[in-house]
Amino acid sequence: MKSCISYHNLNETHILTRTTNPTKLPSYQQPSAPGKITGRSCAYFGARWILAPLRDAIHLVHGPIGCAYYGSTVRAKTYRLFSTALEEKDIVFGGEKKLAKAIREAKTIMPEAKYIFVYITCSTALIGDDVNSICKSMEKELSCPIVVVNCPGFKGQSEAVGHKIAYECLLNRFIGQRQRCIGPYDVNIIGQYNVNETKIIKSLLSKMGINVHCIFTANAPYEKITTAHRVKLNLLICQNSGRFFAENMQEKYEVPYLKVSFLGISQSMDSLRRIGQYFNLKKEAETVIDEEYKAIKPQLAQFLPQLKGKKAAVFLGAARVADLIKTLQDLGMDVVFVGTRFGNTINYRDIRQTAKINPVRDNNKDAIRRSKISNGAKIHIIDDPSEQNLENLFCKLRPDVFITGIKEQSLCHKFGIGSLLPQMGAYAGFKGSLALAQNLYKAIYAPVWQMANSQQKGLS
Amino acid sequence: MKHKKLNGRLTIEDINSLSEIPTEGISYEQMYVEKEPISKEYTPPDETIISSSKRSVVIDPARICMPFGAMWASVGVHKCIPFVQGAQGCTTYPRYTFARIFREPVSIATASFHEDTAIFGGRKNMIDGLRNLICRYQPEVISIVTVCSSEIIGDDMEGYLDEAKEKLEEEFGPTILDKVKFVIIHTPSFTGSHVEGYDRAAKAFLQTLAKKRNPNNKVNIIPGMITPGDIREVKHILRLMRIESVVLFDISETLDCPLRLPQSMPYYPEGGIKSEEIVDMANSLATFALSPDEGASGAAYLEKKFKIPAIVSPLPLGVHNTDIFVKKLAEMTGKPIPDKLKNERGILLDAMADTFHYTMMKRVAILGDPDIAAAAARFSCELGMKPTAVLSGTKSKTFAEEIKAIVKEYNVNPVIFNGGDMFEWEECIKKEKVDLILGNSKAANISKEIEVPLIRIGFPIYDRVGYQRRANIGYRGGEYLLNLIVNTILDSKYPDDRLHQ
Repeated sequence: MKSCISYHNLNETHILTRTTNPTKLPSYQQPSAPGKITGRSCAYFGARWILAPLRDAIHLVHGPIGCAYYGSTVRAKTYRLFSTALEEKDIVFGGEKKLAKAIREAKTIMPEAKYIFVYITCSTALIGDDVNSICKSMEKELSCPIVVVNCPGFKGQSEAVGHKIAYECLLNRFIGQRQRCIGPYDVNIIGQYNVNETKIIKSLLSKMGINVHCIFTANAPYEKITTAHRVKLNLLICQNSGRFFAENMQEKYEVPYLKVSFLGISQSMDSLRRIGQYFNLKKEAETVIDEEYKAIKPQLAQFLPQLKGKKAAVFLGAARVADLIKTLQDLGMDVVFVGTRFGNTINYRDIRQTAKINPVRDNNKDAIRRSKISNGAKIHIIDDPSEQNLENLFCKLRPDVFITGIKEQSLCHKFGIGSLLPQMGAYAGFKGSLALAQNLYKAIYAPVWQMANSQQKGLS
Repeated sequence: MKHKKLNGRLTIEDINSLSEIPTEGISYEQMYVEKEPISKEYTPPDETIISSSKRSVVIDPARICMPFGAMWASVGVHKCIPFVQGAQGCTTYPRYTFARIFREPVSIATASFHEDTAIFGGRKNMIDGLRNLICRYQPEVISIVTVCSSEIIGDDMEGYLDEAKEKLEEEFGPTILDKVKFVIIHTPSFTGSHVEGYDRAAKAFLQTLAKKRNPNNKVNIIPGMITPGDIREVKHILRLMRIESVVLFDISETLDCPLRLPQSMPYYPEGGIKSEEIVDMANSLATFALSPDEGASGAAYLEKKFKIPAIVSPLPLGVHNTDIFVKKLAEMTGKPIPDKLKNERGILLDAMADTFHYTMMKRVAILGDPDIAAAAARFSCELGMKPTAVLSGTKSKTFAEEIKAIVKEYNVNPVIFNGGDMFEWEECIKKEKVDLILGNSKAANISKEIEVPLIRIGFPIYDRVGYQRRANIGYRGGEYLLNLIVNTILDSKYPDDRLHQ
């Protein structure tokens, strides 16, 4: 297509192309430019992401119907959601009375609920409903804690703000509310949002004799959340959303935290060893590692030659990106570009750090030379890529597999590139690493890509 | 320790009641942790509050807000990108929804509202945003969709658009305004639902673009929110009848695209109605709004302004409704109904004759948008099934009338939820035993809970593949839907050894 307008006068500082300057980062945590087709979402999305699975709560969205409809599906699962479904007259005259009535009714319908979340949306923030005071008075009336989640969609730059708001709510209203003794080997997991991965991590830890008390956030009951501060250690997995929470727990309740990652074999080993060291369970850790690694090693070895040298690209939230790069490099793959939706300084530094360490290559002179040159940055790093940025990178770099979310999945398929959705699988721990290698193989070697790329030949 | 013990172990209550951890700690062997049941036991909620008309809280809504409908419509226009004057969530949630249903990339641009916008308004966002969008994507049409926040702030969209056009002309020369068309669709999220959003989009597009020229002998079709497969079926019927047509919001080739390489950049699907064709819609023979609630006001506008007869009939799903559609087509264009089409009808009737044993007297619960719910209720009556609970997520007059007509005609007695939520409908079908559910993926959870099979129709279907390519409307679509219903009944109601006839 002939373009009538040149592109050059657009600000593209959010893209960091391969560079030798090792300290340079892309511009980040900037609001998306208007007119952009962005992958970012709003604060409400972030808050729902964290809080939706808390099961013994009433979740009430104070706003128009759309927010409630969209917000009921979180992490590929549908949850029951209450809404005040504001209408024109409520917008004009205020929705406060409706909110009070709705809270009362919701409690009648779900009497077993132990607490109530009230989400504030764009509309209710703009019309200035005094949600806090209503919730306070209703709290007295119903004698049931009501937590106001102040997450109007226009707040902050992305859903990361919503994550923080949600964790603030948990911290201020739940943690430390009850006292209860907890075993000496109890830990919390913070920032783990994938149910299947949670199962794997739990089983790994239980083999070491460590009990997982509460997961932030899964369907933990009220009792467990309120007593979460009594554990011996917090394991921080998503350091983007969870770091704030872990740091505050450390400050307030003197629970130390350990940054761990269960993505890939080397990181799982490292994490288990560090946990073992903390609890003085070194032997147990080694036994678990030995056992698990032995179980998958022969199967994993089958996939390694197939994955070697294949090009991968990653576009995810933020925190797991650096861990994922390392895992992919461990598998012998090249990461060609990396995008995050809401990365912060730590994320991008981690990405730069990880990208610097090149995988060991054997006998391939060309590859070794390349890795020396690209000591500064081996990969393209891009903050909040628009759809067009992704298209350009697909055409320019032609990755073999694109690791991403559902929105971008169909886009890369249109360009003949296989996709992998981390949220849909379980890639933690040793079994997860095998599953990752298997699914990467599936994504790269699906016969459809070859047919798609030779389509023109096939029909001419 | 003086606590109660269960087989020598401590229960959770015991542990909770301890004021301090004993210095020796509690071993895991000492703890007794009860297993939690998978699903809670069903306790019927307070009778007085089940009906949604008696409460102000909405539980599990079956409708989305208006902007979604407007975005759906815009996606059906060739090289059209919706520009959503709201926060990022207002674009990302719909993109997520489209991606889940159609498995296609959908480009929707955001105005990126933040705190400063909430205070100063969205003027700058819109002017900058339109410029950026044109620079990056060179769209042919931009539909500007408002949401709750911009409507509450009171953004003067028309004024901003004039200003933006002036600036664009200054920067890129006067030809730019011939290349890009702008359509403003006002869709405040706090009224109506996605159904009305689509309706408003139809009217807004025609109001902005349609212009009187020479008659073109075509038929306008405004399909409503039906799948790409459905639209192809409509086109098939029109082709059989040798009628030239134009489909306003043709998603058949924008939300169901082939994978063909190399791909053009930026990625645009090939299909969709061209803006030129929308202009020419003012010169057609007649306008058919296939879904009375989605698009009828567009047809009414054309009738009022350009004297083009508007035909608003129920969604052509099932025998009766398709008959109406085909007859009206023949009437308006003067074309005969071809034998091939009569054969298609005959095949549907033949399939119904072969399977009435299975479908007769089956009790069915129906869920969907007003048009598809009413049409599905009629089709299930045509199959001899008995609708027991019919829910339209959006409140609609035509839905109420149509259901009343069906009730009278077939002597059935369903509970009707006009504009209700999922909760009351679910409570109803828990009490009234049903054999089948006809509805969208939102009913998947309840279908599992009460162990009644779900037949997926309507919007949205995100937990199965391929439904967007299948037609449910027309005679052939009816046959497909019938097969689906009968096979589901066979799967769930009949033991295998009775099927080897």
